[in-house]
Amino acid sequence: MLAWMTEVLRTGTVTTRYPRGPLPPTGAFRGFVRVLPGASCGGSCRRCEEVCPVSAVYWTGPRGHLDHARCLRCGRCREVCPEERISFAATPLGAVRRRGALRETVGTPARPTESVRPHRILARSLTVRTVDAGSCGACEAEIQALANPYYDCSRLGISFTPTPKHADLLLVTGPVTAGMLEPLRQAYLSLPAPRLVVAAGACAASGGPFPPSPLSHGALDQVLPVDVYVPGCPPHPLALLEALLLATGRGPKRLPGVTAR
Amino acid sequence: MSTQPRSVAAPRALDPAAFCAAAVRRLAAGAHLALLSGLPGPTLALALARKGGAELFTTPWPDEGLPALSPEFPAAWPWEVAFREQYGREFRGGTPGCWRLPCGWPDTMPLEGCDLPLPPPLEPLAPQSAVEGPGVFRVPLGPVSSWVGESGFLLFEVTGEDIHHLWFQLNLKTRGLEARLAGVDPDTGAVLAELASGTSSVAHALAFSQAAEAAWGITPSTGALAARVVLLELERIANHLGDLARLHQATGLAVGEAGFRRLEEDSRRTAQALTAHRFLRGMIRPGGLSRPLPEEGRRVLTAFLDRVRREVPRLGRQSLATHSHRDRLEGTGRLTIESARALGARGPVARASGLDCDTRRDQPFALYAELGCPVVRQEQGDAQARFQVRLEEIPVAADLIIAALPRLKGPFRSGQPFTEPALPLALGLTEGSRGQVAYLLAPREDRVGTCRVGAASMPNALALPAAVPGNILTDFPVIAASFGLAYAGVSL
Repeated sequence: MLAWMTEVLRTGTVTTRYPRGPLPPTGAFRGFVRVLPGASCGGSCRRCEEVCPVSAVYWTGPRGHLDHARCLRCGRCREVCPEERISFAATPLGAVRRRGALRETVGTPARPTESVRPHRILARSLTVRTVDAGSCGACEAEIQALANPYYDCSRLGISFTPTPKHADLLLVTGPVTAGMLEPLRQAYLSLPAPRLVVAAGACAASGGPFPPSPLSHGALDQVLPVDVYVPGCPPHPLALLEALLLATGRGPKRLPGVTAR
Repeated sequence: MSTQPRSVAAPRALDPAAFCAAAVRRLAAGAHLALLSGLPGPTLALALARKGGAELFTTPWPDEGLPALSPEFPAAWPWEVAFREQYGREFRGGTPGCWRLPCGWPDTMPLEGCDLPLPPPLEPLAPQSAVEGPGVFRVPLGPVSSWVGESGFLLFEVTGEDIHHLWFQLNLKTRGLEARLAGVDPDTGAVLAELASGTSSVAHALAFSQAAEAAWGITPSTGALAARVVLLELERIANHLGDLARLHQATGLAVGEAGFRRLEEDSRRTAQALTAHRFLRGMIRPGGLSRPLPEEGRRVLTAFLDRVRREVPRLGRQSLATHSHRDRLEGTGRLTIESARALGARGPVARASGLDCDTRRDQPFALYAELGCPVVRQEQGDAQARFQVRLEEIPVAADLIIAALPRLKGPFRSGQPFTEPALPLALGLTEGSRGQVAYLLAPREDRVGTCRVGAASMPNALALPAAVPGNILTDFPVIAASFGLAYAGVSL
């Protein structure tokens, strides 16, 4: 017992101050993909479009488009770009309320996210039910990280529950496989109103690498109304925290992930 | 000197009778069934791993079918079922069931990317009852995990608290990864392989890359091979720390859980400093790496390894000195060495039951033949043995990284092109944190023709029901955490 107490004292406090304090330094994180617009590119070679496994970057004539919800941040586009126009923003954040806010045309400023009526009733205590609807397991690892001493979501009144009837919010990962549709729907219907739904990760937000097929519905918003989208493969724990705060109207006024683009 | 790692073998085409004879003879002699899967035709491919290397056999599927291997070698059962699900052909004398497709699925598995209409709603689950009698109850668990975890349906048959039988269905989240891999270029294939089992990205991308390198006859540089060792071992440390944290969560030792979760997060941050991704993705590519490991990240890595070597043994000692924790582990979920061998268990689960197996030593790849790899083993086969195997493998992994770091020299990527296949079919084997990962790849010109995946959690999931009977329901979270399965790898 004494050994454990020594352990606790030795560790001290490691918890981040987000969302009140500054973000912890993230170093070389691969966040949103960014393409430098320029006269000489104009989509002339389109090699980024050819190699992207999820069509997150594509060109219509001279206009380049990015779909941040689909992006896996694999870096294939950056590797093949002959002019080295592609980079990644280092911000780990980026949750948004509208799917459209994750679509961007290269060279135009990103649209600010609209303000949606926040669910003030949940502002001080949020109980979350997670449903894995076909994820690879990495999103679950990052959601579990929310409870670790670094992020400690309980300090913000956020807790996880084993039963959907006690939950305010459904945190869904994966592209919604055929086998998980019915369990997911039942979990959603068991939630008391207001039923908040967060699509976490590229698969849930857009289908990502698993477009519609007999085995996958290819994105959560094909089967349920979604309140918040979190891009990333997998999303950083801070992005998940941001999404949960955003869903309850406690998010930062201006989202660093969006304004950074 | 051979240019290919010894874990990769050239395929041998046999006629059906010789195929069966070869399979039975080698399996009876103790070879491990790494992969048994269908290829277009259908052709059946069998990969067997034995000490010192691996063998690959193929045979055309005859009209009269082949006899099932599973009555004698139960490890073959999920593969036989998956073959039926993919090609609609049955092995003679096999046990029916479902493995990758949800039970009651109306059709075979889609094998190519397609835009067909969505299937009709599925029939309700049809569990198989194994125990009958007065007082026998069925306790369902899932499919949605009670805390934060992967989805899978489990059904216990119990009297009171005692579990007699476990039936599971881990195929609800099948995404069709093998279909997605068909026809992509090798680099995209590595990106997709990282998604087979998200926390074992390196092991999967590496097995895929090794298969691709063998298929196209490419040799990566020594520096790239050393970097692969660094990435694979860092992934092992991160996953073992996470598994240990979940085991503490299952026993309710919150302070121990917090300690391991803190270290797990440190390992993810180290991974990020090294590769800009918390799960080490986007690095491993056929032919080497996508870019060299940065100098700055290597400094973060050595500092992290120092902490791990100092803190993990200390935390482990304290956990085992805490009776409330240790009492839950001792004798819980015992998997006998016979069951582990018969069901083909791999990784820490197998080594905790006394099986002397490790792909890194037995079918060496990357630089493991030079670096050497001490195999950590325990004999008891219970949750505590699995706890200790993971605990002791962490410093071993740290030593391997330290040994590999000075060799990060030379070009990080081979310039040879992936245009002319050297082999019609190639195998890649690696040892991930959960056990052996096997990729079978048939190239088509400069693209992946067909790819078949065997993740470590597949045989380990098969072994789980063997460890459960005789325990009580409240022990199951401990057993599940000590197995540390990734359901995504089971269903793909």
